Amino acid sequence: MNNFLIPDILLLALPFVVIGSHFLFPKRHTVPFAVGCIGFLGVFVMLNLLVLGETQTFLSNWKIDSFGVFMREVLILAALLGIWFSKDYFEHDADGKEQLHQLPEFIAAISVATFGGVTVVSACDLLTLFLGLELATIPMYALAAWNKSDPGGSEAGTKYILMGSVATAFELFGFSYLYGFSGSMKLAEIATAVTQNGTSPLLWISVLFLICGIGFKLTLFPFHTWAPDVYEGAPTPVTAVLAVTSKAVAITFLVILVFGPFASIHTQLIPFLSILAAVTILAGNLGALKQSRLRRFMAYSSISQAGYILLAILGPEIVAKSAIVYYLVVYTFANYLAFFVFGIIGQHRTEGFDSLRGLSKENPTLAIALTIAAFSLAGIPPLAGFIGKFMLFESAAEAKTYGLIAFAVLNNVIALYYYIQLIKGAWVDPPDENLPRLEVNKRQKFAVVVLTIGVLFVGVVPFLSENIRNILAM
Amino acid sequence: MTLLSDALFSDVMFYLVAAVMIGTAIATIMAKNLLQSAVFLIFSFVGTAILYLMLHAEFMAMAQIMVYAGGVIIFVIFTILLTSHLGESALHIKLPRTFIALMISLAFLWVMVRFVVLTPDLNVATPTATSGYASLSSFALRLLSTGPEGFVIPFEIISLLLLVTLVCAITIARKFKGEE
Repeated sequence: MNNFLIPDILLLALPFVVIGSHFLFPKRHTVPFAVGCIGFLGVFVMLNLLVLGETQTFLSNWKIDSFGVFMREVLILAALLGIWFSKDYFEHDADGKEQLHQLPEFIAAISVATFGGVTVVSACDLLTLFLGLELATIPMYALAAWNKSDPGGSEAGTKYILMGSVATAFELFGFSYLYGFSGSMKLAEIATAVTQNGTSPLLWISVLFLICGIGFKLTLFPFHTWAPDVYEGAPTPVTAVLAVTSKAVAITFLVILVFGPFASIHTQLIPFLSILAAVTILAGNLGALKQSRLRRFMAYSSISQAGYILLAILGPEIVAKSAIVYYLVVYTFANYLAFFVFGIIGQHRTEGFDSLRGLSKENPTLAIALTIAAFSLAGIPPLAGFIGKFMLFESAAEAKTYGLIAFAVLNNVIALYYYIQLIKGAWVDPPDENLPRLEVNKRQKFAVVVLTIGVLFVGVVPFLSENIRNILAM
Repeated sequence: MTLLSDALFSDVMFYLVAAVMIGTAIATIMAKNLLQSAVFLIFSFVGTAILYLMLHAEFMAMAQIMVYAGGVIIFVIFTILLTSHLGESALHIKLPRTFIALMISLAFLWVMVRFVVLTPDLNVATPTATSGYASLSSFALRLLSTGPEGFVIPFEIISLLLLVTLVCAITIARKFKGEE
């Protein structure tokens, strides 16, 4: 039974092992990277070997249920792809910025942030929940400013830490009211108090503040303004990590709250969450239409994706959780695939739409990969993104919010328009002879091929999504 | 003590301390001089410590005074004195913005007061926790106990959080070879 703790402990030890391996072999720069990859891979394999079903509790304060294991898998996968993607940025200049330094600490920061996500999904009390979210966020502030020679990175880090602190203050304020309302730190006891007195003004003030706070971290509409600047200024691998890991942690936090302490007021929360989801999708889509820089474009795209993921929370618990897990896997694959292609393009060119010109002639594999990533993000069958979005809409439909679903589907048309801009750049626009040649190394080629196959495979294999739902329903 | 009953006395004290805290908090953000605002902040922190004392949380009160009033503020004052030109020119704010901010704050205050006043059971000055609940020894025992009342996991996570913050801060701040 204690098998369930082993992956967590290994993940906890990983940052120290990675930094330690750098001290043991200071001359060999590939050692920390190899240790990091093997560590994440090992934890991922171990998580897959666990026999799911019952909820396990350790020290009365650390619970591991099926949803927790699934989220761990998603987070570890995202972290593995994140360090795989970032390795190149530590070897040469890219996108007109100098190369990054201190790879071991970089990997350690990412794995601690991943452990923060694990803490969020395992928490049984408010304190652990809050600390988990902070553990997942604070390394990100540093990661955004990792490139010291780039003033844009420092600007991004400063903006991020300011906005993040405000969001944290909002959350803490909400938590303090929740504690004052229920008189307990334990999520289970808070849930009882909420069931008994669901209309208390104190409770609703706390809900208001918590939604505002998490809105910052999840880049929901009125709180999303920091995202494009931070995504643009941070180093490209950090942008990829921010777009996936930090969003996954934030949405997990919301899921834990909505289906934990707030389960009995879930139906009253639906109107608020619906409005937030609708305006977020619209704002993200409208913002993405006018972008010429690829990373800024991805920032707006990820804002609208956050809105789509929020749709799932409207549904009943099992359907919502399985839709979120599945969509996060799909989103991780497609987003990293797009980022890998942008990374290869950005190595000698600027990261803009113009640099995509003539991609299909110069390197058809990359053009195909980009097309698949874009279509999957837009949700075109038979790719993974279609099934993922279908499940999100299904979850929202269970809550009978048909108007909202219709709005979201119509918005998908806008999304399709701007994702097709990427594909048009790669396939239709005339090649530009002045662009430097692309270089693809083995690591990038491997990742692009594996992720392309992954996005195709996950979309056409129906049992995966069914399995997730059946295990969660156990 | 014959004039005021114990409960009424602590009520009056609470409102007094709370009013001073709010007053100094407002003074902190209104003060034109950063140094003055830091000094006001000390008073606000001391007020918090007094509130803790009134709730019989002696350890929290000590920690509040030692860490915040003693440590953090000294640090802030040092920072201000070492970077003395900081923020002097950034105080030109146009009127409409102030006005809108004031309106939003007032609306917010109205919502908070209305909602909180509606809540029953809030006007109880005596602590509901058992005596000695927040004393140093029970505090330490609960912090490190692994039982249902224990907080050993958050405690350990805080240590990890501080460690990673330290590692990240050093990485960002240090100079590596090749950088002058």
